[in-house]
Amino acid sequence: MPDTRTPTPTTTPLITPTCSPTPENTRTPGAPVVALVGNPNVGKSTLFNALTGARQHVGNWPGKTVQVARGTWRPADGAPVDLVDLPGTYSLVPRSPDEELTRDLLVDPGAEGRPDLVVVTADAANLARNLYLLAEILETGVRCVVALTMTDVARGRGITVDEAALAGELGVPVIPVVPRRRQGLAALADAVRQELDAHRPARPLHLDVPQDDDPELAAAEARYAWVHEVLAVVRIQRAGAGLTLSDRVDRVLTSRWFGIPAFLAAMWCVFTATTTLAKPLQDGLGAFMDGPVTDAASGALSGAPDWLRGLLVDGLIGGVGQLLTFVPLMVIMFVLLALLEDSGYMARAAFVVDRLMRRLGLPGRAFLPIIVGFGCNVPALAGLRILGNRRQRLLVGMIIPYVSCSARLTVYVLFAAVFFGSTAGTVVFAMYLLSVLLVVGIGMLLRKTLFRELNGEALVLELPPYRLPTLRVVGTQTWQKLAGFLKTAAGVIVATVTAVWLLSAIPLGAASGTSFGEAPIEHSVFGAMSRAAAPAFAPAGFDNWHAAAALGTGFVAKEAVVATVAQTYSADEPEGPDHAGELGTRLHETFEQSSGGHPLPAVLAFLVFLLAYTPCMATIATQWHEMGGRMTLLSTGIQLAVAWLLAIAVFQIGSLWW
Amino acid sequence: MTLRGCAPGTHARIRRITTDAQDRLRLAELGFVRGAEVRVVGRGATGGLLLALGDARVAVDDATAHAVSIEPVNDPMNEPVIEPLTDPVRAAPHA
Repeated sequence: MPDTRTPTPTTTPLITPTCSPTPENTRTPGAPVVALVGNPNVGKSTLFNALTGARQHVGNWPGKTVQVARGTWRPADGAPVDLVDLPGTYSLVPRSPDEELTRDLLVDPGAEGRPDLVVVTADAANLARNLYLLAEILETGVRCVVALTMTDVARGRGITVDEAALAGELGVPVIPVVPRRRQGLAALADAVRQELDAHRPARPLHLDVPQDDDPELAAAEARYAWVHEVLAVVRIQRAGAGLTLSDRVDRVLTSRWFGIPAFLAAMWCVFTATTTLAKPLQDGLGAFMDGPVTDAASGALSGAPDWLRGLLVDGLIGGVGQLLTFVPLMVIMFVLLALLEDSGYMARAAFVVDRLMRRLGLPGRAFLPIIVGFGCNVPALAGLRILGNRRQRLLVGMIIPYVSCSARLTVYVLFAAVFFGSTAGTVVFAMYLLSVLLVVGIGMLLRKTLFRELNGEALVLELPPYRLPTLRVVGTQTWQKLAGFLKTAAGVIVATVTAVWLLSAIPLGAASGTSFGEAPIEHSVFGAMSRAAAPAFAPAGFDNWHAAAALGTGFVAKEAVVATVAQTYSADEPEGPDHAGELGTRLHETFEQSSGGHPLPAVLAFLVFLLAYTPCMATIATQWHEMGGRMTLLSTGIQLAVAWLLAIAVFQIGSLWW
Repeated sequence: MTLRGCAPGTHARIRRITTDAQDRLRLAELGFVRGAEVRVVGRGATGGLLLALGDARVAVDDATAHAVSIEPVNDPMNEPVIEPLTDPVRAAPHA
C-alpha cells in the first residue's frame, strides 16, 4: 500500500474536553499527529508527560467514552508535534472501548484522526510481549518509531538488547529512552522528524498464518513465532538469571502466610492516611476559612447590605471552604494511588484478594476504593481509576455510595445515644453491617441486570516488576488527578452550598416581614420545602419537617446534619452524643408523634434512609467526573429508591412489635 | 497434567489451553501459546498461581491454571522439577 497521506491533520478538533468548561485548545494547527501506543506498565504515560510537560489535557475522544490525553510536544529544535497518548493495550484485537479506539485508528486507513506516525513504547525487560503488539502494528502498515524503555531494568537482569539489530529486523528506527530521567528524548524527536519527512512508502509486515478453525489464535501463534525469531537475533541474556529480586519479594508478599497480613497492613496505611492523617489538615483548612477568611471578608464588606454579605460570606465562602477541606484528602488519596501503582504493589494486592472479591463478584482491585469509602466516599470514587475496565468502574462506582463513611457515623452516634441508650453501640454496628450487606446485595443486583457481562471474568493479570516510585511520576499524576477533580467538582459543590444557604435565608410566610437572612429556618424557603417533602416519609414513620430538613442538608454534606437538626429546634448543637440535653427531649417528642407511638422503628428507618441515600454533593460531583452524568443520575435515583423502600420496610416491620 | 497442580519451581511447556475462545486469545496475546515455556514462581495467598513467562510475570486464577495443559521440562535454571511426570493425585483430568 503506497503511502499517499500527507501530514496535514483534519481541520475539526479531535478532542472535545468533557470536564473543562473552558476548553483549552492544545492542538497546534498544521502540526503532524503522532500517537503513543504500547502495553500497560511500560512507561508510556511517563514518556508522554516527559514530552509534553504541562501542555496537555485529558478529554473524551469525540463520540466515545474513551479518555485520551493529548498535548503538544515541542522538541528543542523542531516544529511542534500534536501528541496523543492512546490507552495502553496488549493487542489490537479489542476487548474494551479503549482498545477499540486504538485498533480503529491504526487499522482503518480512512479513520478520522488517524495518526501520521505511531511511537510504540517497547519494554526491553519484557521484549517478547511488547514485540507481539509491535508485530500487529507493523502489519497495519502505519509508519512507526520504536521507543525502547526499561533498558536499565533489563540490564539489571542481565538482558541486553541490540538496538541496531532490532531496528534492522523491524525495518523501523529504535531509540532507547529513559523517560523518568528525560534521557533519549532528543534522539526520539530526531527519529520522529526524519520519519515524518521521509514519505517512504509503508511496508506492512506480512506473516504466514496457517489455516485454523480459530484464525485469531493461529495469527497470535504466528506472531509469537516471528517474535522469537527476532528475539534470537537481538536479545542476549546472561545465563543463570533465575529468580529476580521481584520474584523473591513476591514469594513473600503474595504467599499464603504473609500475603493477607501484608495486604491488610497496606490497606491499614491507606485507611489511616485518608482518615487520621487527613483530619487535622481538613480541620485546619476549615478553621482558616471560617476564621480569618470569613472575618476578613466580613470586614471588607462591612458597608455592604446584609443580604450581600450573607450571600458572599456564609454562602460562597462557606462553599469554597467545604470544597477546600476535600483537597488534602484528595491529595493524600492520589499520592497513595500513584505510590501503590508505581511501586507495582497494586497488582499484587489485586492478586492476593482476587478469590475473596470474586466471591462477591467484584474485580480484585475494587477492594481499595471500598476500604477507603469507609473513611470518605469522595476519594474512594476518585480511586476508581485503578480499575482498568470502564464497565467495572461504573459497577463499583454505583455501589461505593452504600459504604458508610465517617460523616454518617456522627449522625448514627447522636441518634443511637438519644434513643437507644445502652444498646447504642449495637445500633451503630448494625448500620455498618447493613452497609456491607447493601454493597454486596446491590452489587449482585447490578451484575444480574445492568452488568451481566462482568460475571466470571478470568484473572490474567500482569505483575510489573517492583520498583521505587519516583517523585516526578507521583507528583505529575497527583496534580493531574487533583486538577481534574477540582475542575468538575468545584462548581457543583460551591453552587449547592450557596443555593442551600440562599434557600434557608429567604424568609417566607409568617416571617416574610423579617429581613433576608434573619428569619428562623422554620420560616424560610428551605423550611417550607422540608415541610412539603416530609409527607413522603409518612410510611417510614418520620413525616416531620425537622427530619426532612436534616435529610435535605445531608444531601449536601452529612457533616451538617447534626447542626441542622439543632438549628431546626433552635437548640444548641450538642457537645457530644451523651449531652444531647434539650435536643434529645425534642427529638423524642418529634419521633414519638410522627410515628404514631413507634419512635424506635421510626428512628431506625431514619438512620437506614440516611445510610442508603446520596452520601453528599461532593460524591455526586465526583461520580459525575468519573462516570458521566447519565450513570450518576441513574445511581442517585437507585440510591433514593433503595433508601426510601428500605426505610419503609424497617418501620413497617419494626412497628409490628416495637 | 495442567498448571493448577504444579508446585513453585516447576518448569513446563504449554500443550494446549482449554478456556473459552476469548480468554484463550487473551492468554495467547500475553504469550501463553502452544509450545511456550512457563515457570511457576509462586502460589497466591488465596489461590491462583504466579507464573513466569519469559521475562514477564503473570498471575492467573485457579480456573485458568486448570485450563492450561502442560508437560514438565527439565529446568535449565537449575531448579529441580518437583512434580513427577504423571501424578495420579495432582494431575486433574482435563477436557
